[in-house]
Amino acid sequence: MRPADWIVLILYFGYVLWEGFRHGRKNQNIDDYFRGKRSLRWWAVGLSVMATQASAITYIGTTGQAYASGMSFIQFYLPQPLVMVVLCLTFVPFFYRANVFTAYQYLERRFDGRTRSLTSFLFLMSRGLAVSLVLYAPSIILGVIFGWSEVTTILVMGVTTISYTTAGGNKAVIMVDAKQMMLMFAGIFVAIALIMARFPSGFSLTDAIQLAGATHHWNNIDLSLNLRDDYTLLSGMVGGFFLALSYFGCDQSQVQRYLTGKSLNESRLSLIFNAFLKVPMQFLILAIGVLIFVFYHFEKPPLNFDESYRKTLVDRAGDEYARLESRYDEAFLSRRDAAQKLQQLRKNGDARAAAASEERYLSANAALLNAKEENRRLLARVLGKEPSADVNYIFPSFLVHYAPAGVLGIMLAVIFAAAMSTFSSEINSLAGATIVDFYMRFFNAEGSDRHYLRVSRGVTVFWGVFATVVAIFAGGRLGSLIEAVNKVGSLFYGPILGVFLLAFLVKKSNGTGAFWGLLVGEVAVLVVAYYSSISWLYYNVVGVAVVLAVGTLLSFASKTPTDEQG
Amino acid sequence: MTEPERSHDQEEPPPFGGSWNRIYGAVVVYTLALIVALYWMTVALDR
Repeated sequence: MRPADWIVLILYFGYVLWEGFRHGRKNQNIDDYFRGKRSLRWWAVGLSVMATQASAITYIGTTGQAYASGMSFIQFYLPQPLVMVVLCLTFVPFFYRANVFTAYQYLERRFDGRTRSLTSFLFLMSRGLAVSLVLYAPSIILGVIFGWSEVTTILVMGVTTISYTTAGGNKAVIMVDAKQMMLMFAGIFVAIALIMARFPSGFSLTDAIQLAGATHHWNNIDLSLNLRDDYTLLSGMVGGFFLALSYFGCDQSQVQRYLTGKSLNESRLSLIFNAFLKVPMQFLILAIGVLIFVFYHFEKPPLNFDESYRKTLVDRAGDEYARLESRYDEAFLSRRDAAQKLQQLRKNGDARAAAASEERYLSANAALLNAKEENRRLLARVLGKEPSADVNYIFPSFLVHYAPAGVLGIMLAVIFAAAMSTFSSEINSLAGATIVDFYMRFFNAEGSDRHYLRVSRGVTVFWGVFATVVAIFAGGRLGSLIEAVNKVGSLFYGPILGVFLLAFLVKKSNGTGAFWGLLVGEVAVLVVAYYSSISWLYYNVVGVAVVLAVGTLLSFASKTPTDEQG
Repeated sequence: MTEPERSHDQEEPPPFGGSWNRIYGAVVVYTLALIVALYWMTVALDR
């Protein structure tokens, strides 16, 4: 870290705190605090929706995943434009006209109080567990960059975000999110420019695209129908559709964004804005990973992107690791030469020689991957357990070694912005659900505006501190971080979405069907997750299907239909 | 805690595109175009 990087970071944190506190002065009641008095414009809400979804995990985990296995994760995002249309047609007008603070409040009007309580409780459970990962991910970066403890990083981000979120409420969260999202967009282009500037002289973007094509890194679409494959067009469009519908339609961290729209139209526009921007944005983030993969054909990538693992291996498997590193170095040189030769032949238009050269390149690439795999096995043996995924360290490691002064600061600010925008929205929504769905119903229904505002701030601090403490003690061996977050969510999202679909689609459904359907659906998802090997993306489909089936059957069996009130 | 419903919002047209249905249609077409473009890219660059 050079002075220019520190200046950028200090400016970033100073601006975020100033912006957050600036919007906090006008809060007088919980309508101001949780819904920003329903006064916000579509662009701010839309950017906040995007910023809430795009966490630091998106930048770290997704780029790493694309580096290792290509663009196939894009299929997970493909149904999102369609989900936005469904939301605009159903969830948004239902919630907006019902004038609710939380999505679950709507369920009490439609079904009964216990269905609302159970659904809100499941949200608090799932989001409360996942929110700590949002802080943990960027703490990895500073661990790599400075050798700082992860605890320090988590505390810096946690305390800053808790401060402005507690003081400013949802309006501050959204206005800061909007600025953070703009920074994140800029960061994507800065990262791409940085990588391309580091390509060898004469090596163009077209060359990079062609080279990555040889290792199938541009395989965006997989038409396989195998339900065990995680990233296929089928799992994306079916499992990803239900996951996204549940996340954007039933997760309070998102619902609380678009409930602040100045009008129903403003809320809808914010989602349409997302429909058009989300997939291209994600494509570019994944492309960063693929371009880093290409870049490391010409600069030797570390055998262990996580420096601490390298030190462990040097200390505890010295000779064996030295032999492995030597073999890895040879494999790298061999792959570099093969890649250069291949590109030269392609440029010369010699298709036949290029085909033979491509075989040599693929063989050299396989040798490099073999050395990496051997390294993983050695590490597992030394540690006595499976090491955490190396892919999460690739992007930060690249930045540390190759970003010039100032640019590193900008990219760190981008990663902090991504983490903090998600964290702020999540603790704000956790507080909203706790206050509106539980505190105001079961503990104090007659409080003054001032009292509720004070308690809301206290609960925001509670959730912020809870997530920070969990991040400090529970971060660790979770494979690719982006997958980990979505896997945790998928255990709960399907059943929650099922209850809302039951409310919207089955007019004769009632509270008994909804409540027991939700419970049975949750058990079904947990059983499927534990005993079957289908992709986690399908858990959402299972949850929705079971809740709809059981909820409908029980509603008809109990014969006490609840009238539609939404 | 509650306010009067704002049901008039439902009829308000979007600020562009003429009608909401037209905008939704555009999103669907856009999604299909994305899938086709990404599939084309997969086939064209998978050497």
